[in-house]
Amino acid sequence: MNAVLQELYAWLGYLNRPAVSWQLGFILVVIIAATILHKYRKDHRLSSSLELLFGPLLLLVPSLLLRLIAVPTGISTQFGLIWGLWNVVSWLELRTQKRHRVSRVTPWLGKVVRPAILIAAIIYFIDRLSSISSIAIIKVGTILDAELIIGNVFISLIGLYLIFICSRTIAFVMAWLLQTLMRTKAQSRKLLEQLIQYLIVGIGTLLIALQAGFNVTALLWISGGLSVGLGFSLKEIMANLLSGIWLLLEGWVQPGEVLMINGDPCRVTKLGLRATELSRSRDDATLLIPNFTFFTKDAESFTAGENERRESIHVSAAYKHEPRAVIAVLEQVAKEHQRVLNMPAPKAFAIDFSESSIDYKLKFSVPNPLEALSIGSELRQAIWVAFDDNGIKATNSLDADV
Amino acid sequence: MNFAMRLPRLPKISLVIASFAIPSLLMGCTESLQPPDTLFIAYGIGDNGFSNETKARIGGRITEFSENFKRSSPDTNVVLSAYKGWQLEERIISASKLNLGPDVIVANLGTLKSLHNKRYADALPAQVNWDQIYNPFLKEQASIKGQYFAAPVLTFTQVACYNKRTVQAPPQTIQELEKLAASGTRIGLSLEPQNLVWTAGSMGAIKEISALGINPNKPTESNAIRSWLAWIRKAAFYKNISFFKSEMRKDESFINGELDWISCDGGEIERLRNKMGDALGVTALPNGKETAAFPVPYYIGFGLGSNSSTSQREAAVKYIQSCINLIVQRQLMLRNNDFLPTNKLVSIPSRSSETLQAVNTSFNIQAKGYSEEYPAVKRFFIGQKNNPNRYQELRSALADLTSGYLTVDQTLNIFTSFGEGSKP
Repeated sequence: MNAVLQELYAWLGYLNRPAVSWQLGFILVVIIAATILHKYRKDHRLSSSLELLFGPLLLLVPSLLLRLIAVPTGISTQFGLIWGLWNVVSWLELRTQKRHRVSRVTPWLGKVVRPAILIAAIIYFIDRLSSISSIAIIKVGTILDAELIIGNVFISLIGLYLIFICSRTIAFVMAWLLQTLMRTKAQSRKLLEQLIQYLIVGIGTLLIALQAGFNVTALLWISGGLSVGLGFSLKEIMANLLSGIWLLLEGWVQPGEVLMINGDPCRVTKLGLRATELSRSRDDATLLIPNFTFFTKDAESFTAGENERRESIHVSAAYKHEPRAVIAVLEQVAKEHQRVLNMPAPKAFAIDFSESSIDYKLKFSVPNPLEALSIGSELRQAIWVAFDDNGIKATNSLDADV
Repeated sequence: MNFAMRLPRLPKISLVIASFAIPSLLMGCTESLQPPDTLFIAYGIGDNGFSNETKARIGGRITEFSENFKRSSPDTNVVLSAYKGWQLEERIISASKLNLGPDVIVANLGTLKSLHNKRYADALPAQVNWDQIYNPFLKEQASIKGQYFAAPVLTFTQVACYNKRTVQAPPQTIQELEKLAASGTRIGLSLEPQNLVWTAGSMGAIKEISALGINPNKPTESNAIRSWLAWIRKAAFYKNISFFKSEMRKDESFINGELDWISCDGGEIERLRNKMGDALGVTALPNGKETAAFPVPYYIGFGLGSNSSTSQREAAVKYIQSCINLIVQRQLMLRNNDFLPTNKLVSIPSRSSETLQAVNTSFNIQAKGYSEEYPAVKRFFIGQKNNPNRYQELRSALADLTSGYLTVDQTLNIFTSFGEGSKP
């Protein structure tokens, strides 16, 4: 690190040159003026475009004019150009945000383009102040017998940043391509995307470590040690992770499916690699069930891959009413309900002769299992009205099994 | 309206900083904030890889100069910046455009001349009597119209390097070299024209080459050039003589024991010695029966950057003077035997070491013996303005000759054809 500090200290020597020091002073003045304008704009609601133009132009115009009369303005001109480029990106960001509130481009401007400009500017000025090739081979330390040099550390940091920033998008594209090519279900794409993202991060980090000069043998030792450590300390997390991958491959549990959890119907909202997120219809609570649970406990699926749900209502009518008429009324009520599926068609049956009544069962299908309760309630009300209209007397009570 | 009263906190702080910083920057800073007196020195590292090892080796030589300078100017901070050799000129130009160029440039005279012609290196001050230090031969290399653009500090030349364990007595003539190859000694030669032209000297072809260089259009005898090319062709047939396009590969093969004798650049002797130790033998290149070998020397010199402040320029000139004075040049030569001093007043104790003797013979006897022909030979290989690619054409022709693709006469035709312009 001493070599780096010596290098930085040496750059102060350029201040001995009037051509350099006056330009730095000029840049400082313009930055202060731009800062004042920034606050003034907020108070007086000036155009943001004007503010973005102000600083770079205030630096570039005098610099270019002074260059005509052979006044040294190389630093201020380059600084102005980089500042201008930075502000152009900021302006583009503002414009796209105004036009499209949710834009796919805007995050990239902030996460990739602007950092790229900043890094390029830093490299540019370091290379002018000194030799970047020379600085790049300065040793900064030793880790696992690997000598770390500034150049490799710098490249590794940029690589890691890019991996974490871009891995999600790359994973999205790859998952989409896989889905298109392999014709997998749309619901499993998200999980596949997550899996690919983890793979990109893992492999990318390994490659960066190798590029930085880490010894392959040392990395193997570390990964071996980590495997043992993970086996013991993170046993459950690893079990959940592997279960998640297994669930993805088998496709038993998928988003949209309805499962019975402790007697309550719950819809799967998100299948993560570690846990599955469910929404309980009774109280709209969100449940987070570790994936491993699906391998250790019975899980009752109402949908088994399909969202339709077959429901039934038990009704009793007096002996005096002809069963065919009662069955017709029941089926008519179900058919007229908007949220009851036509296919398979509702069907009513006379199922038992009780002491004082004949028991009927109306079977019908609903498109969404979580709506079964409310549809059942509406159908019972409609049956009561239809029985009343047709002079049918219901005995005991309307009973329903769901 | 009192505008200042309405300023937010950040601009107020900025104004306070600015009120101190700007006058300091513009007026050259106060005593306490005075930046260190710094002398920026840029140097290039050749084709043998840019690593901490090469940086330390080449930077070490410049540090030797700097230590001497620091004795008389202890308060000046000397900062060395190493660049890749092929990037040196371009990087100096880029930095100079931002007034961040070096104060002193250490490079070969060709690079310094190019930078001077492009106005990125200033001429040396005329107040110093440089003619007292340099002989006319060096003055011609380092000056334009009598004005020095560089101060040569080291002279490197070509010599022969051999493995003492396998070569008992190095060949004194090119004929002996041939015999040595026939007896099983493995020889490595370069395909780079400037590194192979020494054989033209041994084969007696320099006079004809020089005559063609002076006047390309005048019909000139070319029998000696033909004999030289025929010798190269014959050498290529030998099992034990190898031609290398890459100097680095040739040197590496020698270090690895795959070669026993090579023609080598004086600037590489230290590296070879570090790898081979006492097994390395150095001698002058073998002459011919009647003529001497033609080693091509090159000079490393100091140039003045164009961005220095007055104090930096003074320090730069002082630095250069401290490096080329009699005492420092002599000490440097005795510590490092693989190059010669440029100060004409330094006497060379050639008996003190085998390497110094070889380098001295190569430069002061072989190369200087051709001092009259040297400019014309250079013109022959580099060509005129109408064929800027002539050097590359000759290099390619030599490669084709040794690989059997071209006959001797076809190669001779390429060597003696001028004025047609270059093929890309």
